[in-house]
Amino acid sequence: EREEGKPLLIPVNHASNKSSGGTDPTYHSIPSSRFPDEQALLNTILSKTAHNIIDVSAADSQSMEQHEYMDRARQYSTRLAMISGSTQCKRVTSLPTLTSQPHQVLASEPVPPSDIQQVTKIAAYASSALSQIKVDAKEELVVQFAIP
Amino acid sequence: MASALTQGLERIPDQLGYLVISEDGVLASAGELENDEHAAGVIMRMVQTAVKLCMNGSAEPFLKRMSVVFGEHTYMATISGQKVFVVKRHNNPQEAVEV
Repeated sequence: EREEGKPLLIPVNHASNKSSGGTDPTYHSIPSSRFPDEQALLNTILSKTAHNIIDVSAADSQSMEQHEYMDRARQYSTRLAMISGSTQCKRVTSLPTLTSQPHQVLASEPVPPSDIQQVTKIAAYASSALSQIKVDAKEELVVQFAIP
Repeated sequence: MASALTQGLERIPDQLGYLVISEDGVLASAGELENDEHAAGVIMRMVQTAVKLCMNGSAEPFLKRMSVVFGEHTYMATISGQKVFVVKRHNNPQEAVEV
């Protein structure tokens, strides 16, 4: 009997969920449905979302004092100077040594003309093949749904 | 001009000019490539790209020399001791190619 007396639609009276803004009307809870579990689930989703959303306009900025700001700026530039001063990361794009006899390598036989012709031909084939890439339309992009 | 760097290059048969380039700039230049910083820049970038293409994680680069072949002449480049050596050589008549 107690169950039967209980109203199906529970009147909504909750305060808005824990959002940083607080007064944003979109954060009011969802009116309940016939299934209390579903409402609980929906409210969980809502509160999770509200918790994850960062309302930039509503957030109060962490302001620093002027001298704190200057100190920190000085700290950072000191650290940067230390890093850029060290030669550690300088030669990241170093040139690998290909030979210990550069003059000999550069003086030796040029590439045979047959090799050049072969490479040129292959490149021409590749270029031609590339230019022939096209879309092969098999069917209409837009179709009408037949509604009987 | 560092003669140790360039002596060998001078003596290359049918050479029309050469460059020795480090990552900081041109160390030596002569002939048709004398003071050609533009060519040095282009060739340096080509070499750096070629080297990247070859190094697929293995320790050994498998290119020894890069050749840029034109109708009448060819640029050849290699790397040794952090320096790029470039020579511009005339193509011999029997080796003249249709590019």
